[in-house]
Amino acid sequence: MKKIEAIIKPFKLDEVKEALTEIGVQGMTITEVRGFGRQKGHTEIYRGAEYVVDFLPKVKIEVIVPDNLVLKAIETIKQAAHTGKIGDGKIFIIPIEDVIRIRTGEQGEEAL
Amino acid sequence: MNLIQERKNLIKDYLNSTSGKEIVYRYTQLIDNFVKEQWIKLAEPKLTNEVALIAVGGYGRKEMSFYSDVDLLILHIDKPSSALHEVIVSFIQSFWDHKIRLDHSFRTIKECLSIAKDNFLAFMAMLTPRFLIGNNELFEELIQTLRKKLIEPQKHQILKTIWERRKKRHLQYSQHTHFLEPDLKKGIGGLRDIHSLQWAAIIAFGNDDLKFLETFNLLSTEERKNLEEALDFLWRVRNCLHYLSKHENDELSFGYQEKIAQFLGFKETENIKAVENFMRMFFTYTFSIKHITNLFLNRLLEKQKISFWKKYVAPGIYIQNNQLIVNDEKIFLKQPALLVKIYTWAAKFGVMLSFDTQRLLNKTILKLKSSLCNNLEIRDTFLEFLTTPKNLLPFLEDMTYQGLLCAIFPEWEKILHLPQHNLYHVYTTDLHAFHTINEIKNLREGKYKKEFPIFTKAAQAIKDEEIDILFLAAFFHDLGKGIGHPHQEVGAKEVEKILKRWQLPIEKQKEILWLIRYHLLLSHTAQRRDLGEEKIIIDTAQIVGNLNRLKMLYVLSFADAKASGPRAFTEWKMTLITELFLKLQRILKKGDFSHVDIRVKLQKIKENLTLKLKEILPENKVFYYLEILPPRYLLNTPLKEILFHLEFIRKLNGKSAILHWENLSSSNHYKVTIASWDAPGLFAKIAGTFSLHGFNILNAQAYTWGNKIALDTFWLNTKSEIHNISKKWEQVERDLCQAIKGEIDLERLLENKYRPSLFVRKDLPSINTEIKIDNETSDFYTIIEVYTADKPALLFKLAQSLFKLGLNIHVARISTRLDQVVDVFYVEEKTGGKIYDQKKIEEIKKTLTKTI
Repeated sequence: MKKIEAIIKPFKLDEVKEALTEIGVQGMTITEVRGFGRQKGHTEIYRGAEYVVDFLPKVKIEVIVPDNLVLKAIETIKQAAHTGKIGDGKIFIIPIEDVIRIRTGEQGEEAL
Repeated sequence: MNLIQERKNLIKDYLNSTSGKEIVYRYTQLIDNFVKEQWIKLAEPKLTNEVALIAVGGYGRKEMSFYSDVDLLILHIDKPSSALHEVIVSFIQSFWDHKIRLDHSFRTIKECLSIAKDNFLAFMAMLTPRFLIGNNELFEELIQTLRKKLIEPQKHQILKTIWERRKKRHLQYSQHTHFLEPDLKKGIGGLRDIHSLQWAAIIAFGNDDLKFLETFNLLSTEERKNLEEALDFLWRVRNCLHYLSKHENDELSFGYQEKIAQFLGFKETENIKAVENFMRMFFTYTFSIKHITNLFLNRLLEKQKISFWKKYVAPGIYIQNNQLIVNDEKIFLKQPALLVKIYTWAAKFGVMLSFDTQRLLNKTILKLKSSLCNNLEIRDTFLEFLTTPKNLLPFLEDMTYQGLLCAIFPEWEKILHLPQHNLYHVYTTDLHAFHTINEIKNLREGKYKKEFPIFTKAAQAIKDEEIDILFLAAFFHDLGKGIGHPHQEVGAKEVEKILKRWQLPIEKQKEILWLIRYHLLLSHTAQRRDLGEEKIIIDTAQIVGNLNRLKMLYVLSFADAKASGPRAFTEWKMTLITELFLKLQRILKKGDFSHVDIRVKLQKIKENLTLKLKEILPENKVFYYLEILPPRYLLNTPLKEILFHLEFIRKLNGKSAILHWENLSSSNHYKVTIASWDAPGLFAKIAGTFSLHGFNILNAQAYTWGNKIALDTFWLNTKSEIHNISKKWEQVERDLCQAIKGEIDLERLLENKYRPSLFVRKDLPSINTEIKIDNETSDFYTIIEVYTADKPALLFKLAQSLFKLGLNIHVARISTRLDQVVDVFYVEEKTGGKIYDQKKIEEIKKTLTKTI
């Protein structure tokens, strides 16, 4: 199992969500986040100190997928979130040790 | 009941069953029983009056594969009790706990209507409802309300939407990846096409039973049988796909194609792989589905608007409502050539054949079959059809479906729906031929005028009375693929039979066969040979023989690549083919194949150079340069470039290497000149530095001057645009200097940069490695050709190995053959001369194989 974390442009959320559901990803967690990467924000001098005032709004998607879906899921996010412009975002892949469904106590891929 | 166990039993049965239909039917029943059982267990009888549980969508149609979603509509009365809500929650949970993906909705009739208005797919799902348990009156009310309020008032509009959505989906799935790895459901000719047909039948006639449609003459018996067979096959494949992937899956990816082929017992035959045989059957069925649904929907739509306006194109044949109609039953029997002629008319007027006409056509073809292949009138009408300046793709597909093509050319069977299991050929072999013809037309019509002016000019210069030669060659060029190796040779032999039967003029026969035999000549030579060497140009010119052929071959090379797919068609490849074409053209125009005396030519170049140099340099310097410039360099480099190089190397003063770059016409393509001091392994170091910075190397020329200056030219490209490109080149130059001085370890850096990714697909068709060594083609060098799977920094690794073997690289050309990359090196011994020692040749092969 892997956790796939993708930071994407907010307006791409629907597309990504739909595409992931289509390939059989069940369930995801969405967070509205702010941040910057190479794209940077604007910096401004405020009372002598340099502040980054413009973190850019993004959406973070987190999905946990069984190993046989990892590749497909990454490819799907890549395609759906792609605009080709700066700030399309990033995908992180993190190994998952275990999963437990609280209601039933199921563990592992069963619990996804 | 224990659903999970029951499903396992069913899967076991499936493994021994040959019917796809039976299994989806039985699995649906299993789910039905489960739904009812759970409901009875959880809900008190009085609650049952508040709802109707209804199977909709694929579940409603009884088409469940092992991991399909269960589409369940829980239709409830207006103000349901709170007890119902509680029951529903545990009811839904019981599905989850049995590992069944439930796609449920909880609605009133009113809500159903408003959702159906907003969401077309949800609406269509409600067209195939099945009552499971609960309040039957509620269910009936829904059906009647739907029909009265939504269906009846706008029948035609809905049919149109079904048609439009199908068209849009086909467009979406006509991208090349969907041909290589088709989607069972949404792909062209997939299950969704049959759904469209069924939806339309329900809207129009309130019944989607195929036998019903046959009784009412809406499908022919043949079509009904064909659809049933195709459906059964698709279900078999889908069941298998679900079983193997253990989750809902409709994408027939490469890995599963191979597994399913094995699973369903497909075998390798003569020169066709098992997986190709499997996919061939798949494409045969999806092709039928596509055509039958196309016809059916067209017919429904046309029925709705009748115009009485007729345009006669010949006695008994007219166009009405955008359809070509033949109303004389006997006309085809009397004049078989009309079988083809009507397609020419249909193409000219942009209409389809009417349903009845198609049936009549089909009947006649069956009757006349064996007599069609040597009917000379058919020959003439077919040639007229092929040369009609219209997009013939839909008509050629239609002729395939009707069996007309195979009746005229029984040999066509060999490539009918035949796929090739690699990433390079997108279409099946027969479709590829159709696309090739279309691309020639596109060229002639000037569609690529801007990007490919020279190709366009050549295509337009082919005389009308000779264009049939090119079209027939294009039509048959890959026929050998269904017969054996090499496909050009065996194909030409087979086509010869057809042309003889057709009694075409001997001259034309000869030209067509020549084009088929040599259809890969230009692209292979251009990509793998040093076009600077005169011998290869003259040898090739001798094979081609005359300008007319050259033009046709040049156009065919373009169309063939373009019709194969994006991997086969690159701008770079076209540039190389054009370079070769222009060189061949020059020789063929002069008509002089004798090798020019190189000494005379060299003398002339030196004289010209002397004149130029004298303008800028003192006499002793001029003499010096004429001495140190190697003959191959002088012969292959334009005068202007030599002058530039002489200027350029003055900057080398004290540095290890200097670099000059220019952007070639297309973006992301660069030509880079590097001057440096000759040292062993220099070529590998340059190649490695480029790889380190993410450049692909397409071509390379290396020269060493008498004063130990190495002057190398590289043609490179990158995948994506680079920001601040001049800065990038500064970095490349700096790293190159460091690499030459040994200050950085390229091997380690490249290894770090190209760590093997954890996420590489492992199910793509496998690629073999092959190494060929050729001492014949070039006068001066041994040519080493390496065919293998592409990987990062491959050229660096190969060059490094060649250097360690004590060889000097003079030219490197990088191209592709099917899924392989082909790296071609012109090398010589460190001491000069070709490699003749057999032991050394074996050693080279062994070392390079190990490197890869």
